[in-house]
Amino acid sequence: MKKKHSGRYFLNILPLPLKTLRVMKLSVLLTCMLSVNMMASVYSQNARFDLDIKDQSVRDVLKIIENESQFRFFYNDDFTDLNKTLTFTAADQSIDDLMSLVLENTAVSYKLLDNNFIVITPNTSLQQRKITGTVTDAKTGNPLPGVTIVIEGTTKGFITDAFGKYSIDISDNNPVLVFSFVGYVNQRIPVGGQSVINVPLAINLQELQEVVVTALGMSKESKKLGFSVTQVNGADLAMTKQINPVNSLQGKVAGLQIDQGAAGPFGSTRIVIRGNSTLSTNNQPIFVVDGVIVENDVVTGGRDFGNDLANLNSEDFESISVLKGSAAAALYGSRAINGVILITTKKGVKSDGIGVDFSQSLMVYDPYKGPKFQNEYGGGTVGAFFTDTRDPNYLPTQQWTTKVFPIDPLTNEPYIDCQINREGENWGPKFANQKVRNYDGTWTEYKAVPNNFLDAFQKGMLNTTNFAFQGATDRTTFRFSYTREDQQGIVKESGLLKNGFNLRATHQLTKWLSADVSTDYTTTDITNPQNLTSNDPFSGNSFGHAFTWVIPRNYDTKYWSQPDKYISSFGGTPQPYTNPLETNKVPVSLFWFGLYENKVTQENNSLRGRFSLDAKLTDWADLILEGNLNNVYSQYEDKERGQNIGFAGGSYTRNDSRKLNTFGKWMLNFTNIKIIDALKFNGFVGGETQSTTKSYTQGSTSGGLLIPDNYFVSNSILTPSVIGGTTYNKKINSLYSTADLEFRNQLFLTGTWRGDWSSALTYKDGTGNNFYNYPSLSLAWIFTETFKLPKVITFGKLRANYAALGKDTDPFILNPGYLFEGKAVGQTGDPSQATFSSTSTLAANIKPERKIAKEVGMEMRFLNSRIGFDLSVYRDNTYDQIIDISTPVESGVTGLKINAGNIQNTGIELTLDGTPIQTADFRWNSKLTYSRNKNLIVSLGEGRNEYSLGGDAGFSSSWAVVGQSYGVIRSMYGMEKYTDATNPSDPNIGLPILNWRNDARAAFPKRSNVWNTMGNINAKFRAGWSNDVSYKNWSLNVLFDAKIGGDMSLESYRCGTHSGVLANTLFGRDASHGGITWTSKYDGITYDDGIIVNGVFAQGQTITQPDGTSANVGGMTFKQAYDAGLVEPTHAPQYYYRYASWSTGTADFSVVENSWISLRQVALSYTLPKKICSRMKMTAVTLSLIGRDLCYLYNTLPLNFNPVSYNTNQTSAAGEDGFLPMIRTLGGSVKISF
Amino acid sequence: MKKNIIFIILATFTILFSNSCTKDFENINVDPSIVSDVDVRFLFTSSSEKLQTVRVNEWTWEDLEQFLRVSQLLTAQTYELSGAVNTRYNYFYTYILPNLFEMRRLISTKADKEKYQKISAATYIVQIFQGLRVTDVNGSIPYTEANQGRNSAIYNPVYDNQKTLFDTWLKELDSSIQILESSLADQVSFGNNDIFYKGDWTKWIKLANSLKLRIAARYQNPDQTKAAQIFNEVMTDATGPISSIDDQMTYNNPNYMPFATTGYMIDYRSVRYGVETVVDYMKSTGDPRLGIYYSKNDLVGSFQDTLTKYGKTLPAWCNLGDPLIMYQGGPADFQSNPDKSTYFSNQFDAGGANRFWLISPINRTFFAPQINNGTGKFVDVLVSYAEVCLHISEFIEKGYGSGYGTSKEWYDKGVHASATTMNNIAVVAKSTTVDNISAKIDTYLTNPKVVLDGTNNLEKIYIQELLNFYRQGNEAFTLVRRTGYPKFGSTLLAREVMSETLYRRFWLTDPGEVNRANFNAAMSEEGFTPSDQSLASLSSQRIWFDINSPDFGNGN
Repeated sequence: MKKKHSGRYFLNILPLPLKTLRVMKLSVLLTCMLSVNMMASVYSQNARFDLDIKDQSVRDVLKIIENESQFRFFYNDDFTDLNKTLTFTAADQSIDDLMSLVLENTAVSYKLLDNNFIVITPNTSLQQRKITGTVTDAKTGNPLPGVTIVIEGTTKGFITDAFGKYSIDISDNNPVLVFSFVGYVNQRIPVGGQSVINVPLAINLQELQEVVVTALGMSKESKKLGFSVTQVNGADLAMTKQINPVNSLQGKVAGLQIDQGAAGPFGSTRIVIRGNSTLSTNNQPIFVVDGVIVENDVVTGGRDFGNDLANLNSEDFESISVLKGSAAAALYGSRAINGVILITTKKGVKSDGIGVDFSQSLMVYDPYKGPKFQNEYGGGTVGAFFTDTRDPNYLPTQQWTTKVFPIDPLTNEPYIDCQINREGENWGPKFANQKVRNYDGTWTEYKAVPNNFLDAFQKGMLNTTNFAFQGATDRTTFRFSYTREDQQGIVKESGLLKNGFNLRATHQLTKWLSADVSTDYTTTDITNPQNLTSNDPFSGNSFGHAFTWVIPRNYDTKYWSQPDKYISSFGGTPQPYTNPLETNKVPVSLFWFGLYENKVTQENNSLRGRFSLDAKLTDWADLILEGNLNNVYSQYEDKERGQNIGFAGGSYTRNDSRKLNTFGKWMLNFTNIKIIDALKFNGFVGGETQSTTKSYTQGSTSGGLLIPDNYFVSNSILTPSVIGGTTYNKKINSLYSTADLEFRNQLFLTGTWRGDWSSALTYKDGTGNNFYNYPSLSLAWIFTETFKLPKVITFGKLRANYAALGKDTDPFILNPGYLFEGKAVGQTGDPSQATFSSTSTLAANIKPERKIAKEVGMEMRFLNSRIGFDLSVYRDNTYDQIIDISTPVESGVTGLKINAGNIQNTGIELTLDGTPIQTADFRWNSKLTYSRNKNLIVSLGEGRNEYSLGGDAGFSSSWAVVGQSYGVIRSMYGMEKYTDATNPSDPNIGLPILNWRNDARAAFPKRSNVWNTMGNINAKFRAGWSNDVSYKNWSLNVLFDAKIGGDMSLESYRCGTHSGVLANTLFGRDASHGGITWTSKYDGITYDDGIIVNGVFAQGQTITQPDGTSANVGGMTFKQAYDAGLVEPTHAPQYYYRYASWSTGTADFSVVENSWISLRQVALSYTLPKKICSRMKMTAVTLSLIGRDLCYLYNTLPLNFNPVSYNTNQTSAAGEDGFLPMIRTLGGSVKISF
Repeated sequence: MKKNIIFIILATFTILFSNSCTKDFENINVDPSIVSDVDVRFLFTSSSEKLQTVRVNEWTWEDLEQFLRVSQLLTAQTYELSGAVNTRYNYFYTYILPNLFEMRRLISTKADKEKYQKISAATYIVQIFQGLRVTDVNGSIPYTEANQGRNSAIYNPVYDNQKTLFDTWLKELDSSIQILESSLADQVSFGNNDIFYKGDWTKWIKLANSLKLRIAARYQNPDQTKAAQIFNEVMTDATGPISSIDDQMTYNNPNYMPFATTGYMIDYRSVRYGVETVVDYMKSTGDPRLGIYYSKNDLVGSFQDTLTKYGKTLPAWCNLGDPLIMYQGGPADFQSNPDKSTYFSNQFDAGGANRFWLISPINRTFFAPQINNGTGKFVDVLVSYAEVCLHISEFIEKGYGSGYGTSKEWYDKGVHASATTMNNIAVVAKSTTVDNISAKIDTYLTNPKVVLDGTNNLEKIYIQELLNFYRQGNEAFTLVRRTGYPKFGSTLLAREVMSETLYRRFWLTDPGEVNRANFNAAMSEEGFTPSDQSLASLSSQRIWFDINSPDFGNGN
């Protein structure tokens, strides 16, 4: 075994010396080093060394000599020269010769003592000297002024002068100088014995030479890519401490649209790349973690448990690549039609210390701002007419009078209107600390509780702990990490606990075969997440809804949300309406009861396992084999406590579900094949098979719990219901290949092809258009390599690509049948029921969808790469979408599934980056991203011009309209505008037509009841501005992001206007708020809440006058009729109530522009100096302070509504239906490496 | 060694990937819980159940807020017609028709299809029952081309006008009756999958004939001769219409709670009260249904002592000499008489701590047995024997046919059937019931305002029809539209003038671009302004059967 191993020493002792050496060693052992062996020097002097050293440090070489001979070294371990690496071969050399070799080019010398001790000392002659030199551009030879020079391991910094010259006094023995300059590659130069060091700096094409991970996990140099990929460093994301990793990408990538939902920090987030390309409600990209596809499902309404992305741990991310264009994503096949977010996890690296990373962070969620409520008037009803049941104890003379308390006729005491069995309204008396009976009969002072909305929340907390152990040898790397996230929600009783274990190991099995194995096991326990929507004030638990619809401004949240207030003394919730003995008549008790007494949990167990084998077949060919599986088990439990007397009622549901995704792949990879000298070829062919199944079983009680407060399925009054089945089953087999051609390092051409066979496009009889394939072609040309361009241009690249993508549909769609609907329980014999499995029908021969994507881009860097830009312009068209074209219900089907349509997205993405300031200690990097996407519906199905996308919010829904775009907000409840064909010059034309109600004596805008366009969900543009500032060991990141343009339907704004809790309902309520004071001729009562309604009466409108006659006001504006004495002012409460009610309100005012600029992040971190670290036996310590979602610098929503309030993460979401406060996150973290 | 390992790896993966690219796809892509072969009777149950599901919406948004109020059987605050009404329309096309059409299609493909003839015939009766209710408030609707999307790719069905609908349905009912009446061997039975009649074909025939009577009633104003012809067909049919309480089409499921599990929806948005005209008529005639229909006010027990003690005088409309003072109705127009209507929402101050509600609400337990933790059950009679008897009485009275008995005989039978059925419902609901109701009806039928003695016969029949429709808002609304009764100024039961503009129909919404042309054509044929939901249009633009009807209260 004389084989030499690279990097390993082999001490070869020649036959004779070998023997002597052995004797020597023996003697050392015998004397146990207690006495000085007099013979030693003699032996030692004779010792001959045969040494083969490769890449070993001086220190190591000395140890080798110590181990294998009796020489012992004395030296100061701080000598930096001992770290110098050596490579040499010594044959039959004496110790003196050997030492000269070892210490050559170091600043130390040695002395051999008699007792075989060798003392190593610094060369005194080299101490305290001056190093001078000139720094130049390596290419041009021009001197570079302003170059920073730092002595490594210190904070000492110097700068070159105007002529590129520098001069440094050094006292270290053998310091290392680091030369750095913006746009150039850092140079690290050990001084050694030199005193003049002239340094040529090479231009840094680092960003351009950056290696990015592209489709199928292939690493490529970004400069060679013909498509746009944005890679984000995993550490940047981990730093943001977001439970949902999607949120941390916000503002970082041009072309990425991210909108958080209303469910708060662990809810789902909507993410769209380059606009909506299909008419489906889910246009979100797929997430691929080390080759394992993780679903990004949509969550609509109800409690938002997040989706599978919540099971990912950003602490384990090495990098995230956003594959934006179709050419980039083409190799992922049909699932990538909306783009790919590619996550690569960390693997072990060889570390200086023992390889332990520890980080701990604490983030506090601060719900800091709600919408602008009014705080002048409290709870009370709008009047006697045309509303829900009014409290009987308003006086008969108070039919139109608001702002009064009902009086208890028995005690003559005023009480706050309990608004039993009705929505809560806020047209009660003005707050003046009046003494009044409260909802529970106690005396209270009648006053506003301005913070009652925020009082419903608490500060949330996220505690993240991450441990990682890692290490590497020449053949093996491993990394194990454990992440724990413990979140306490901003809502009491809600929270999340996540434990994630991740292990990744790579091993070089033989020289030609390596393995990469990883596994990730994450458990996520979520308790009581937020409801995205709720329309039911009596049982829902959406805060936004409760506080705009049923909770008045005098409602003391802290008081009424206590258990003894929301639980009736009879058990269950207070039921003032159905139980006459109930003394507590507080409204909305059910809200708190539902929030605190019910427990809804979901526990996800996510297991991802993956292996990959890479066999090097020849120098130019690899065979890669890979398999993985992703298994998510979820257990959902819903424990609803009984709300009736004695806690009767209640329910329990348990649902166990499983998602299983398996994947296998082979790939033959060809690298660096030289075709001719100037032309290189890379490429691969491969194939894969993937299958996904989802199934569930659910049992729930029916008709209430037999024994209250006991939660199990058989504790059911009626027969429990049991359902279950397979909800998803799909298999896709694929073949693919790519070819990369590289010409003279300046032209790069990549072609890819993929073919998919999808089970989802297969009919029951085995037929179907289930094969589809898609090619892509991309070209990159580094023209700065081709032409000699002015010096100011550092780098320039043009790129262009073309790709086709295909897409299948959901499983089972093609094979409908009949579905059992469950039994008609209660009918004799509980007969079975069945109906169609689908309400829509299918066109024949459904074929795959097709997307054609074209993109050109340009990347340039200037001034030695100090500034640069990256511009992409693209156009995507999606054809033949498999959509349910809606059909009139009278046809017996709600839709017809066909291949139809052409949706076009055209857009521009621009990234600008630069380093405006750079000094020795200070550096400011700035990056601006901008993206603009225009969506156009070129066509839908034949004869179709409009398509409902769902995404409803309030009165509005979103539509695709030919000639317009995906996400046109439409409503049937827009105001009807006045027209007059006979008098086109009538100035009243265009004003809202008014409805009039004689009983309420109120006018309000009339609904048109025809579909009208109210807005468009698409933003005009999005932008992000990221700034990184570093000063010595400090660094600061400040990130802004913005969405400009795009509308949103605010359902809660409507509710709060209807109920009178929002600040916009103050106008007209009394004289001091602009209300008209008048004495009504109808009843002789003087009111001060009159308003003149904007609008015009329809032709023929008559108004009953106080004397009983009827006056025609048709064609007159309200003002004109008022001036003519034909109408009295409308009571403001009646106006707002009707203007925004569900039954008569109009949609116009609640569809509003949603533009914002957010201070998304401020993060400050400090890295402890190396010296301090090593004193603490650590290799690195970083402390950070982080603030996320800090504030909105600009927000166009009215009354400070929260832009982060979408009621679904469907891409067609039109708006909000219940909001949370604005939540900012503040916290800190410490990261330690050993 | 390298070669061997590569070989092993390649072999393994060859095995893994060697399957055909589409192997097993046809099985993978089938949901195991979707069947391709279904028992057609299951489809029937599904449609039948939906007839009732839709009634949950109708009870609150149509019957209580609209029809029963407009028909002046109860009084409540005025609510605008909102998008919550007319859910029956979509239900008809979405949940009721598709299964029934599919049943017939599946049967037609069966080898033993002759065994399913009666089942097939019954499907028409269900769809016509609901179709009639849909056209009652909408006029022209798609029928002859409806539900052809799935199998014939017709997505733009024409809207049939009401005459076409009625004539089509009469034909289909006749055909069903003929099949059900013939002695076909070896017919598959519905069994429990028939939630109404458990597969009793005779009862289905009776229902079909009773529906023909409903159509006849609607045919009177446009075409009296046709109405008479239908009537005679029914009366001469071998089986005839519903002939006993047992034959009634009844939805009877203990789990059915249209006013929610606690019954609170009965008072949703407004408490409903008795109308003074009806309450006074029932009081003055000794109608035994009075207590079944309305609840007592607080003028019970020793209320007079309280009044005396505090020297309080009741409003004049409460007559202390009235033995039925505990039943008081209010104005049908909720705001028309402020002196009285104030007592809808305010109690009478009887001195001291005594406060009395003076106006009787509707009997909430009768409608919502679960209210106040009640344990009674809700029974819904969809086509009653009383309705049939009173229709026959009306038609005989109008001279449409003879030889079927006198109008009085049918009238008396009808009133008996009505009171008995209502009492039976009250028993199950554990609401207010009447002992010996038959004897009380006998007495009631002798009251001069009730007895069919030749004076105001038709009005008396209409009044009984109205009282019988206390739980069937749609039928009550149709009755007051087609007859103009109760009429203003009647000495029996007068209609009160209401200040609001009253609609006579609902509206259909634009079906979208696919069928807009047919929709607009139908609207224009009917003289309707498309999509116009204003009361002006809904009151003046009438549907076909209603065009010749008198205005509300103007019956003659």
